[in-house]
Amino acid sequence: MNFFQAQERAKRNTSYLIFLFALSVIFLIAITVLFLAVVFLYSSDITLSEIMQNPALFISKDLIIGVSIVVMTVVGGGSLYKYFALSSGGKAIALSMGGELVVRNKASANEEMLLNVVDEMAIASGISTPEVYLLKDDAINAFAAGFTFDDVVIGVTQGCINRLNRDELQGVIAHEFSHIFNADMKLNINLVAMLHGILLIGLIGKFMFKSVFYGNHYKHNSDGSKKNNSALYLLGVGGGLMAIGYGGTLLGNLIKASVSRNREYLADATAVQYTRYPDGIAGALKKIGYYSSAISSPQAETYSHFYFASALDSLFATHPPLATRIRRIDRSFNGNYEEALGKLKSDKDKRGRNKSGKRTKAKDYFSKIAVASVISNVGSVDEQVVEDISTQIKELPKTLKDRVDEPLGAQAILLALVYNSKYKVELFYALHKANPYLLHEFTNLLDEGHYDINKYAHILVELSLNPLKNLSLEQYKVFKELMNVFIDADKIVSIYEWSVFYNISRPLEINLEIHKIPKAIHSHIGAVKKEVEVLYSMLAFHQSKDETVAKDAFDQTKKEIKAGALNYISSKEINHTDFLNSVKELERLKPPMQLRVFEGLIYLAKIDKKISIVERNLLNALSKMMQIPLNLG
Amino acid sequence: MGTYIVIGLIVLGVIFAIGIFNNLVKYKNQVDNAFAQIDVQLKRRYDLIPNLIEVAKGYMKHEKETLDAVIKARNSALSSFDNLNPTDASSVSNFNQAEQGLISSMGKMSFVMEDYPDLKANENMIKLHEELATTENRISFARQAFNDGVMVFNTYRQSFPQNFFAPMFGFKSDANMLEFDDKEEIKHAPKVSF
Repeated sequence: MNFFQAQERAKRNTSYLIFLFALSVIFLIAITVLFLAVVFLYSSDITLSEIMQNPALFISKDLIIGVSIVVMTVVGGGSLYKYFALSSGGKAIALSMGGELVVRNKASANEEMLLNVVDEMAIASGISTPEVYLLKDDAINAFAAGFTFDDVVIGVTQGCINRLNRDELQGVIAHEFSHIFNADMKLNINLVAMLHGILLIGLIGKFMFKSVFYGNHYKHNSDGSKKNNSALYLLGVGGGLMAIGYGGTLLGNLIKASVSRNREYLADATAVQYTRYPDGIAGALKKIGYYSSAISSPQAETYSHFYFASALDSLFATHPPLATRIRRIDRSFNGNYEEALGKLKSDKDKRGRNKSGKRTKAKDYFSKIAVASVISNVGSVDEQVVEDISTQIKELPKTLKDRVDEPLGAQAILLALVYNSKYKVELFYALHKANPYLLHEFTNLLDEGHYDINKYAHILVELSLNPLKNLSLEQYKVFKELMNVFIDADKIVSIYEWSVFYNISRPLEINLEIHKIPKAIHSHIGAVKKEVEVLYSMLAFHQSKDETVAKDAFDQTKKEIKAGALNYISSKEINHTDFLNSVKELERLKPPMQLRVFEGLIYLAKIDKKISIVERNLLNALSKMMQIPLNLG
Repeated sequence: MGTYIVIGLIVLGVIFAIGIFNNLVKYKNQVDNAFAQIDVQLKRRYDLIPNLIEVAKGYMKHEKETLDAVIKARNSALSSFDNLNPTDASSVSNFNQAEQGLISSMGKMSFVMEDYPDLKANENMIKLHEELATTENRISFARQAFNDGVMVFNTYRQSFPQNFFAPMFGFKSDANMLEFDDKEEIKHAPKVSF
């Protein structure tokens, strides 16, 4: 893209639109003046036809000037009022959106990167560094707000820093800096204020209309036709003003939206100028298209024009369609976000632009899941054995369902899943030390008396995953520490405990970029013989708690998957580390082999004709690890 | 009547000329400021490198030579930076040479670092790495902002009617863009030998 040319074009379009806007405002005021002048004459006993025959005779200079002054005062007053109401500093706007100031010495690694990127763009654009606010929202979005260069702030959603890589974040921030540099907020506030003045004409008309309309009902009988006549007259004036005011506002809003869309193109082009890396902002836009960018703040509509990507979609949209924006930057884009993101990734690998050394692996994870779900649906288990997942969610007690939807509640629930009341004192103390709010939530949960909470473990784990994605790295580390304390309380890590935590920690750590999916290297089962033996033996023993029965089940399983060389290991010879190492190694198994191992697992789990809670959670955890979709429901 | 029109035109012309003068001053100052930014960011990098080496030392005991080379290159770059006189061609070329040496020794270090996964996973190292990445970015963005500023200033100065006024106001010449001394090197792909 030739960004200098694109900027020129956007600026020219804006001037044209602003001219159009000014023209419409003048035109509207003129119409109002004429309308009122005619109405004024009409009231002074001159008929309409008389005026029409010779307007010049009646519409005098003084009348026009007088009415003009009144109309201009109304429009000007309305505009000024709105202008001052809107021109609160950027800080106030950011706070009203629920933003939190990001401070460098308290920043997490991601936030630090955000602040660095903002500094870089401040240098590239020559504007002093603004304050940065973080919005706790999982969507990818950002805004710049403020009136002058000095009180401007930048707001960025959590989703933005979690899901975008450094280059993409840079593109987004550069876009916002362009809004600051081109004084788009100021332009927009001017337009909104002007429109409010016009709207005021309509509002006055509406007031007249309403007061007559409703006032008429109870005054109807008291007086004769004269009152009715003047009421009709007021009704007409009110209706006329309403038509002008609302019609004008509609027209003005259309132009305003068009201006706003133009400024977005300008900002995109300027972002490319600042970063000189079109793929950054194009990638960010593609990710927005992929994850969709609806922001959930109730204030969102009021400030929609500030945003990086539109939260609303209509004729009055303040942002151009995403696909068009991307195409202006990246001509090869064909509208398929998923495909484009895949390409983006492979491009990046080739270029090796791994500047910060930390790249988002989340997308990687999602795409692999998508592939895996096409590959197989191995996990289908007889319907009689397990009930439908959705009915299970319906069965979930409402208090649990409500809790699990937000991060604190979800943490409390997961802790409760591995809680052992024997160690109440130590555990409560650990909780109190780590996070008093969580302790509060946890005790509330226990007070509700969910004694059978383990029954819902697999559902709760799944449901808590999304809310927990809102945790920052620091918060997650605290939570992980707590989970480990809870799990280790009795000095034994059961399969159940391990599974519950693995089910949650693996996706979260991939999301937070702590855990990397290792490269698959083992292409035959012999390479992981010991590991498979450990896994199967443990599960078999867990099922029956009897060595001979377990060995029998083990042998049946190895026949089932045609791996005769496997030998049962007595449960006494397996310790926790063996298990952890086995899991780690099995993760490096190539997909077809993983499938075979997993089929054996399911066979073994079903050998006693039922899938216990523990088995279910273990299967869930391992299915996640091997990226084999498990559809037990 | 005629004299009023003449006076009016003269007043308008003066106002117009004042506007041009002020714009020239504004753009020129933006260019100067952008140049100062480059200094600030270079300094920032010189300050950062010792910290980086300090952390790396603990892990890269067998790479003492490489690390020492970085420190040496950094010190020589810093001293030639302190003695930098933009109008003196030899000091500029000295500085460019020292910078070049620093960049190549840093490149060597990050190449060697690849062999130390523990070091790369070190939390301090990750932080420093991000710091260094942002500083490198800042330097290039500062250069870019400077060049963009120069372009705006030059375009404005050369356009009509400013080209008529600018020499009168003392803006006789265009501002110069930053160019890399290693232009030749950029053209040739680096050789890798094993």
